[in-house]
Amino acid sequence: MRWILPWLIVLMLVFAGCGSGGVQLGQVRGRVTMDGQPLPNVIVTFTPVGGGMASTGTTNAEGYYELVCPQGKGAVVGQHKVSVRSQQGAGGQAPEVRSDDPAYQYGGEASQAAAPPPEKIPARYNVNSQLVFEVKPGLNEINLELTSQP
Amino acid sequence: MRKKSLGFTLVELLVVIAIIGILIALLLPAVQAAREAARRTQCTNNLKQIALALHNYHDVNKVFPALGVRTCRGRYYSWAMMILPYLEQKPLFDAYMVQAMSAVGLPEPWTTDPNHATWGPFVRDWWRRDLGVFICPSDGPIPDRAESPARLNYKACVGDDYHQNHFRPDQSNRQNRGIFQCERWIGVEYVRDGTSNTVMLGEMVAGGYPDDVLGGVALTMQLWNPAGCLARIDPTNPKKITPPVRASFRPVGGRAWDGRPYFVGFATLIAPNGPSCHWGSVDGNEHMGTASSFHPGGANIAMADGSVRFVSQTIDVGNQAIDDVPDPGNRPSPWGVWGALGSCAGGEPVTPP
Repeated sequence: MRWILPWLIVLMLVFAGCGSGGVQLGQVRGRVTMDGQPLPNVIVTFTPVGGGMASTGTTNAEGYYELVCPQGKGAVVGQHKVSVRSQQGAGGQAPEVRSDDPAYQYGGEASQAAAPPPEKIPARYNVNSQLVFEVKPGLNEINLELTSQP
Repeated sequence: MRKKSLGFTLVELLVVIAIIGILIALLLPAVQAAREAARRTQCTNNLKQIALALHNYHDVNKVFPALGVRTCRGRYYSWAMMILPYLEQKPLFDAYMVQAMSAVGLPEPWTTDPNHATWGPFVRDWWRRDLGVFICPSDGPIPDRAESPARLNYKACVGDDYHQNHFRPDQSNRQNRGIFQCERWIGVEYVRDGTSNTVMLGEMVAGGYPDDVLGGVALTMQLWNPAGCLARIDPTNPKKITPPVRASFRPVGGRAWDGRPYFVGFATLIAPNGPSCHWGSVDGNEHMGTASSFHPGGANIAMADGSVRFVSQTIDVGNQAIDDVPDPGNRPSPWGVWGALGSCAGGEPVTPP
């Protein structure tokens, strides 16, 4: 009888590692500055270099961001291409209008602007981004110091 | 001589119970996984049936159905209604067509009231209809069905497209990059990237609450890039999205007969199981929904050749910060393999992973 208990403990230890796998995330936070000034209300996007799940974060008034993705807080561990985009025109109210209400517009509201608004942040930080950072397991602090002139 | 005990000691009994407990604890997750695997198989089968129905429709009509067909009252009725005869639902389809030819026409796509002054009996008998083939068993129920007469977990792909993907070609003189668009019927010969390399259908979560990543919709997402939609994930709780979110009575999977992208379409901009976003503040504008499911790790899609695949949520999605443009034409998709799979004539040499 005495030998059972140690074996049970061994068995539990063997199976302890089993369970949900999934991707490993590293927490990422930091500050975005443009010419030394904090950049509020911009979206920071981390995209894995080999392709994969992107993580985003929005900066607050002091320029601080924290990354999040649908699978949790942080970004996939590894090399990331980083882009920074301002967000203009986002937000607004959403009234809960019933479909039988005369105010309800089936075809949607008036049509939108014909083209995206021009981006103030240089294209080398977003569309043609050359910024590459590595996300390690655990907490990463990645500060993005941008300059308006190359 | 010591007397031999015939019963169990307390320690022996406890050990046996402990062993049984451990075995159950080990086995239960496996049983749950097997149940989910069975549900996923049924979900895959439904998707396959719908893909075959679309092809049967194509055999008869030489084109795929439009995302939505516009009636003279200005309402759009969906592709899902048009393929009913090919899903062994001919009586339902006939009832809809007879009603469409009547003086009052079809009910509104959101009508659910069986005592409605105009359409009451028709709504009760025919309009409120949850077809098994349209429901993925892994998905949960829709909490608020006040404006949801018929469930639909399977959506038609409008392409790697956000800007004006809800318009008809004659409204904006613009073609959606995917196979489906309102009031546009294209044949399989238009799928120039190859039918094996182009997404036709995808599954999408219909249940859930308005602020859930899976099942919710972030409204007034008036940015042009998918990163803007990903940024609507709540940083304090990655399973939720930030307001404004959709009304509780307007779930994306509750109106199988409404032919607009919000209810019957999806776009391949955001990786599977990501959030869904909408340009406007209700349901009539551009929609950036993506494939999503409660299957672990991804979602099912059907290609234009009728094959069904499971796409991982870690599929390559390119640079999510790049804007959609008013006239993308036939450019290669900037959103990686996922975007390239959505376009039917982008000229990208990609095959599904």
